[in-house]
Amino acid sequence: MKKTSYWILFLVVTLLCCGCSSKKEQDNQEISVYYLNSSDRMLSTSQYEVESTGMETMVQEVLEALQNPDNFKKFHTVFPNDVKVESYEVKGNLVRVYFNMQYANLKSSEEVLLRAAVVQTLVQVQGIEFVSFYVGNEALKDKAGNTVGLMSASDFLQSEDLLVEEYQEKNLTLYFASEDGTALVAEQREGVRYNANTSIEKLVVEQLKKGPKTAGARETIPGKATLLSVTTKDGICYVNFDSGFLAEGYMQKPEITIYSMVNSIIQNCNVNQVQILIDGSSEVVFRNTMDLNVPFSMNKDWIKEQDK
Amino acid sequence: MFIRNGELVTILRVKVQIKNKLLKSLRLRLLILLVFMSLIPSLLIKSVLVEMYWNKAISWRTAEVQNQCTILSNQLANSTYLEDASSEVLNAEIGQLANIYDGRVFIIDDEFRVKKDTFDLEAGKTIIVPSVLKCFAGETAKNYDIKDHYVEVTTPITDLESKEIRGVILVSISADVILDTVDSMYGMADLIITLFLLLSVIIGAFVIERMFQPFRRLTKSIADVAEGYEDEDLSEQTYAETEMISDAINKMFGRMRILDESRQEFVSNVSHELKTPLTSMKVLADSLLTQEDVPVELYQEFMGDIAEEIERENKIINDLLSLVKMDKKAPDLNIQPENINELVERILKRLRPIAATRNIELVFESFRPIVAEVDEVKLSLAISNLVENAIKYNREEGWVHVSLNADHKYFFVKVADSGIGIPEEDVEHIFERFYRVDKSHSREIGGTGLGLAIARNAIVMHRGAIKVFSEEGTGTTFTVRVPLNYICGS
Repeated sequence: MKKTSYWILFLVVTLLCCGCSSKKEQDNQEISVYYLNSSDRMLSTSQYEVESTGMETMVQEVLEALQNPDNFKKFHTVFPNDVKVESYEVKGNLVRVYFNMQYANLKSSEEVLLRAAVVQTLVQVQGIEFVSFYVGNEALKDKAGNTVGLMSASDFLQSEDLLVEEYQEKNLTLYFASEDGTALVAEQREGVRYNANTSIEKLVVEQLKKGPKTAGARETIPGKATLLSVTTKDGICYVNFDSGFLAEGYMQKPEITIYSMVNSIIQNCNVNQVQILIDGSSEVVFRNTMDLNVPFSMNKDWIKEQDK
Repeated sequence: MFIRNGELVTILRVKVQIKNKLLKSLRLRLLILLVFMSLIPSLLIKSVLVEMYWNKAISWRTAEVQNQCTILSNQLANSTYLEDASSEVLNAEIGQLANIYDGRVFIIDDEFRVKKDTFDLEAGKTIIVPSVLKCFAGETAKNYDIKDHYVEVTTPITDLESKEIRGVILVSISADVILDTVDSMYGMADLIITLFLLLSVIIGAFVIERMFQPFRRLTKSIADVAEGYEDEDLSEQTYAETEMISDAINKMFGRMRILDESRQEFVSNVSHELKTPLTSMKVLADSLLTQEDVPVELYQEFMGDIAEEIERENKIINDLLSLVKMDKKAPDLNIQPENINELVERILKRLRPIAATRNIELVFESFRPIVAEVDEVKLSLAISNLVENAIKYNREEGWVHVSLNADHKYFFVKVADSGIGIPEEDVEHIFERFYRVDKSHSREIGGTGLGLAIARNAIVMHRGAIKVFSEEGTGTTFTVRVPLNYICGS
């Protein structure tokens, strides 16, 4: 008896779900509209479904949505009371937004939130890439009197919480040892995710330490080595390992290990030379052949040409 | 097949028993307790200490960075860096700060533009992060990101004169070093705890084994006594507990020994008592048989003596029987309300002729009429035995006083005489079976040596008590106390 009632419930729920999904079949664009959070007055987003089609009407609708949040309890609009959008103009991939004169009286924190919210919301409309602000009829200027100009999403570094929780992606070229340990082979990595607080140099060394993903390549950094720090100063990247880096028993030539790291770092980062330190000291001879007391520059001689 | 099955069952049962025995072992339980007692505090200390270190280290690190930031913010406020970020000295200083703490430094101006990013990735962008917004609102932030182990610190750059916030320094530093330290601390702590645990198990097992040796010795000596190899007292003085146990067991053994001895004595007494009349009869009969032409008078006299001895034998056997009856655990008492005055009167009436033969004065003194629930036959036996003894062991022309009294719970019978008395050392033995104070006189006085034992048993059966006060040469007083209402029960 109970089982049957469960089955009926299950059926009803399934049917309801079907009903919901079929409703959403319409081809409307979903946009994350930026509002102020009621609790701490920080930027947060709310999903908004654009009903109209056509770039211009969509911009109109999105601008209105920005000023009138759906959920009054949870969100506030980023527009202070007396600031209004007077008009807007869509030109190619650019939207010009004209504000009334009250915009000039905004506190800089209010202004920044408003600007970020409007730009980051508008660029989500298909076809729009840049937004520029006008106050009255003049282009928006900063305090120093310079024109702010075109703004895109990449002009803002935004996070709802701590900055360190933001992740970024980068394409890397890493050099690993070839199978016989006598040459370097390049490995392309696309969209490597890393924490906003990790420097690219550190990211490269960490990725090298994790080992290659392509077949026929060998890792170059000994597994026992612990990375102590990676610092960059005056175009030289200092990579500090503990004594685990000196571990014996590796078949590769010592140059392969060193240049795998040197070449990878110089290739991906804005540095000219790499110096390797063991426990903070450079007075080390690596595997009895390589003196580590000077910084190394890029050496492409070891890189094996890949047949494409 | 059957045998094999049977064996299997036996083996299984033995196994189960061993398992149960092991589980029930106090030593094992103590060991487990020891392990828990050493494990739980060390685990607690480990997590508390490491957690404390972690929090402390994070807050120290944060405070250090904040201190550096404050110094830097004063330098920046004094310069035009926020307008033009090209000062090499300041850039070097900012880079140093980032390098030392393995972090990233942002310098943000009052329009939320990133003036300087030590990673050179975000310069020129507008930054919108809660901590920066809060810092401009006058709230410095120290945030710790648990997931990625980063600490984020913001410090305002305040204009020294106008006190306005001109910008913000945002520093995020990695807590990886602290995390590594904490990890190695956990590893070390685990290692130490494991060693400690191992050590405590080994030492604990050893110590517990040593501690239980006295108990094992005790068990062995008890087993030896039980097997009958040894008859000595146990003495295990190592602990108060073992001492108590051995004392208790010694007491038990002592009591058993006394019981055994008294039984042996009883048997030898009974045989002796039963043998004496028989020996007399044998002597009498033999002397008649060996003589020739015995006169009829002699026959008659000897046969009379033999009859007397038979009578004596009979009496002893009767007494023994009544004693054995009363020794039974659940005696069949016939409890009825009786008038005790009348009961005592009847006994005295029966004994008066015996008293008269020796000119002994027999006096009865009753203070009140008493009715009590008693077994008439057994109580009569007890009282008459007492009075009979008082008459028997009296001097010529002596007296016997019997008095009867009662309170709300008990009635008391006091039998006092002017007799020979009982020596002090014998007083405690007089209620024993076949015990005779004066072995030499017993024969001429007669009696079986069971009278007082019977009397005592009868009184005890009524849940009463019997006491004796005696002075040698002056007289003896027996006091009997019996409850008015018979109390049933074990």
